[in-house]
Amino acid sequence: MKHKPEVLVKIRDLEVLYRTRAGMVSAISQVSFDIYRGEILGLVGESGCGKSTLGKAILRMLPPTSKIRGKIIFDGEDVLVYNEGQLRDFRGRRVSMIFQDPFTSLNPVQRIDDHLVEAIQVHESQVERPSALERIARLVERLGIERRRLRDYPHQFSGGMRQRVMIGLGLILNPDLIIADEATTSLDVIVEAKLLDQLREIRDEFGVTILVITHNIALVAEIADRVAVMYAGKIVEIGSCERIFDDPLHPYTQGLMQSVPSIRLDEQELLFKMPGEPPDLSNPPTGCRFHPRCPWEMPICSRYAPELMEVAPQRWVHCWLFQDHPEKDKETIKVFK
Amino acid sequence: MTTTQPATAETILAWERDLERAGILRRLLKARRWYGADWWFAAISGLLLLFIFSVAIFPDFYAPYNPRAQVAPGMLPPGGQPSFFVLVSHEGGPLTLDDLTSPDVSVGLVAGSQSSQVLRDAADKRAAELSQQGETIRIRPRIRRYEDLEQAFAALRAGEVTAVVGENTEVEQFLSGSSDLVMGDSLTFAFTTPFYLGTNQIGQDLLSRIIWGTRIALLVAFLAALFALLIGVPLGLIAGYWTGRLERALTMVMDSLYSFPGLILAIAIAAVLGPGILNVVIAIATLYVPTYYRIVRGQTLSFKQALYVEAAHSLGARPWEILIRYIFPNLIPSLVVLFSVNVADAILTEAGLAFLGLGLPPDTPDWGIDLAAGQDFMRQAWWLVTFPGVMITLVTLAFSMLGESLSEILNPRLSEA
Amino acid sequence: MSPLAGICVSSLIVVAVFLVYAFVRGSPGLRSYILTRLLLTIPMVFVLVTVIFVVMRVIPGDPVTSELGPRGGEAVRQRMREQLGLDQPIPVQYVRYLGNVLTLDLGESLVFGNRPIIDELSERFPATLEMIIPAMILSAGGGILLGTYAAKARKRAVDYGLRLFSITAYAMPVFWLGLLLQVVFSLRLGVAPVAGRIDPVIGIGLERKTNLLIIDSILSGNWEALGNVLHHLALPVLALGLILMGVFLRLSRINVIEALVEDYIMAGRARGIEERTLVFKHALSNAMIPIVTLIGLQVSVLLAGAVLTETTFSWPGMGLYLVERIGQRDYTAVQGTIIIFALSVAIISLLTDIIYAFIDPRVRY
Repeated sequence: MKHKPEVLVKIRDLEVLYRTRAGMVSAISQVSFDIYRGEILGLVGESGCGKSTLGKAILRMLPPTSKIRGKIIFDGEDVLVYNEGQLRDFRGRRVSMIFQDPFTSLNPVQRIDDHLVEAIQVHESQVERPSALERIARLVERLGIERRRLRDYPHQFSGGMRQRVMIGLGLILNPDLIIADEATTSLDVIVEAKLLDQLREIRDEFGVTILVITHNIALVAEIADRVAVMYAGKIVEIGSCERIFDDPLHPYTQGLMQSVPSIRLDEQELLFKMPGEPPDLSNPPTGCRFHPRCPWEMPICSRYAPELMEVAPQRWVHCWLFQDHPEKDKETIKVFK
Repeated sequence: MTTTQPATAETILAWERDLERAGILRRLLKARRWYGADWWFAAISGLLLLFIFSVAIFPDFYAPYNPRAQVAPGMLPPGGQPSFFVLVSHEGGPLTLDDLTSPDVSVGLVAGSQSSQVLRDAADKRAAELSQQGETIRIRPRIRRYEDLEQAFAALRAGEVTAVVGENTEVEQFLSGSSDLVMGDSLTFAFTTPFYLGTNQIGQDLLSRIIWGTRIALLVAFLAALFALLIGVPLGLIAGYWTGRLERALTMVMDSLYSFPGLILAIAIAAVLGPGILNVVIAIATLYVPTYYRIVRGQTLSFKQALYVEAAHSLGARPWEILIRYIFPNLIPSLVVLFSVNVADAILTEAGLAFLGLGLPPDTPDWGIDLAAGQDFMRQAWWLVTFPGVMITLVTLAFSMLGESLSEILNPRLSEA
Repeated sequence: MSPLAGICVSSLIVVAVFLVYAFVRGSPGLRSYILTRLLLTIPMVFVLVTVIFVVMRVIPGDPVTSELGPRGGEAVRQRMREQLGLDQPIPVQYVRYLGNVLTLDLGESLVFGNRPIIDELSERFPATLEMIIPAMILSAGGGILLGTYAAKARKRAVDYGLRLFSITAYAMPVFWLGLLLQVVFSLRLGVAPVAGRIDPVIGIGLERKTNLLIIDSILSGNWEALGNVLHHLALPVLALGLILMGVFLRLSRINVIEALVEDYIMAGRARGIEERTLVFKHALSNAMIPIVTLIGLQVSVLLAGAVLTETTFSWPGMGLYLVERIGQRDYTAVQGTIIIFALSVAIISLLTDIIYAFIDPRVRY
């Protein structure tokens, strides 16, 4: 992207806390970043890092036991202050979500076409069923679902078809943003590939922004324009896909890249494993949350938390290695690209 | 804030060790925070049940009267305290019946009231008592009749009579204002303990009957549930472990019985067996055998598949060893819950049977019997059909609440987050 | 044709039509399920009928002695035994018994001048039916709606209140609730009759075609009778219905809560569907499937409750008949009544199982 990209979603100082029996868990801590219109942004991280929570937070789909603070500004409006009515209009029409398990995400006693017609009528109550069916038919054929199968129930569809239905539900109201939350995790690789192609086509044809949430780095490499890496509730690095993979800056990102087993396995003797475990978020580490596992840990890392700083054009890192601080003793690394 | 250590093997063990060292009591109390409302439900119903048990085990401690004794006038409302007749004198000490033996004693009473009869009866009774001890005394005071108590008391104060006889409730009005009137002996039985829940049509204290009814109800319900358990659980274990044609036939029998209205089966059995506590127990126990059978069989079927059972089997453990040492202990939580709910249900069934007149002899102090008897007198004595039912509901509720909250604690369902 | 036979035949026709429809339009899975379930009914009825035989005959107690007492010489006893078939060895008795059951020949009353039991029951059966059907509608309808509402209003005061109501309702003996209703509404407030199905004066003037008094009064255009019958129905239906409502409330609540945490609810919410629609349309329609099985199970509880309710309200149905005849030691009548109960239960559980399979699209298609 050469021109200055237009911002669709501005997330500022987002914090999400869950109340659990073990105490308050800090699932997302001080996250701020932008999502540009028309891009495919990949959000990667291991299980429990908060990426799914982030996706749900944008739609305000968090459970009632959670507290959320900050701002999520979608196309100029703060989603977090929406009332019930605005929220219902927002969900599905401006932003939609594609879920991981297409079988359990569809109502088993509701027919496929009813799913889609309902989605339309919830937002445009004046639309009659025949015209709704027309709209659905056009979309559905584009996705590769046969018209005559629309009266079937979800269990009569195969896994790949169901996922296409989910995409259909996500697209039917022409949203600005689609959030794909682990959308391909339960699919086999061939179906997965088809799905990714379709997502790309949809973005190219309709200009829909897509947020792909996954733990699968390879997936992100294939489809994303930009990548955001999350760890323990914080975004630790953002950059273009090429730059992140060619030259990962954050120690965690570097570790992630090294962890991917290569087909040339005989070149490595052992599989790379990052030392340590992800932290307990009810009692997270002070300062930078990655410091207990970081090979380049400095004394300052446990004392203060760094910022997510733009160290180069379109390149953000959350690490003291790349930022100045009066108490810091080592040299700050300069990034040029 | 200090840096947290990442959880290591050592730290985990220390925490677990601490928990294990804490005694059962502390763990029970700590569980309060974890289980929330269910803990409270279990605790409250547990305490309530302990109280109910004490009532069942020591009914004479709690019951003011003998449940079968017809102590009072019938159909007294709750809190009723039947009145009694007393002697009232003017100044001086309280009069007793013996004080009335001298010939110049005269007693005043209201004309047309029962007082004269009461006085005569009391006097005769006392005379009989004394003659048995060898004394012959005549207690025949002269009687003067007045129109009402006011006049009688006026006469008392004027010295025309030595004493006045009247009902304590009426006499009290006059006594409360004045310090010169003294209440003496009672001529009829003084009911010092009120009948808190009233009396039934033949004068039995309802509260005492209800208290004694607890014993019968719990006895029958417990025995029935126990018998059902003792038969159903082994059958279920065997059926779950050794499946086959015989087992299928047995399961079909049990399923058919299970789907049949229980009370009707119990009615049939109780009718055929006749009255008697043991017969009622048998009738009710038969009802619940299929319940235990089904649950135990189902769980045995699934536990049978567990790896540790396979392992034990491969080590040569004999079937009954596996059943008793591996499978049965896993059933215990479910059985505790089932038993509790079962007792609750058995109490209702027993009450139903008694209400219909089946099973227990008619004079037994039983809640169902009392309700049935009370139905004929609903119009005049609403308390007869209210309080026994309250008791049934309360005890049943306590058992089912205990069962339910234990069920949530021992076999938690999907968390209601 | 006796009213009982009329009701049986017409309902059997309805059931048969439904079964054929389900069979023809259903998936192979559904077809095999229907066949299996139909075949299973036979052993189930067989078992119940045998158990009844065992209870009534094999358990000690000689109906002849209890009926005649010390009266009657040996000849009379012998004749009575022959009449009842008690002189035959037990296996023979059993086979004759089975034959009788198949033809619905339930014998004759020992007490009331040899009236055929089947005739007496066919008068009583509609009375019970007329009470338990509204009670079932009240308890299921009310229970499901309130339970769903409680599931929606989770953890708030309404939820706890409804849960408390449901466990208390089930802990109450149905006859006690009946008595309380009688005391409050009949005796104190005077707004409902204490007992019976219809005022005797009005009852004499009503022509009984089916002995379902609601239908009979509509058929004769006797609106006064209709009002009177409904008036008499109010308290028994209320008593029975409220007690059972507790069970439906609890189970609906649990099933709807479990449905509400499913992924498709979250997916629907993400599409902007209203909470109320999610609960009452999506979650409930999924939860209805297990709830329907519950309806089947509750029918036996309903019948048991009916016996007690009929006794409380002197309602001339099968339940009261059973209790009365037990008191009079009319064992033939008792046996016959229980057989009819068993048959009803078998048919109803068959129906609900098939309906349950039918409404679940995963089984149907």
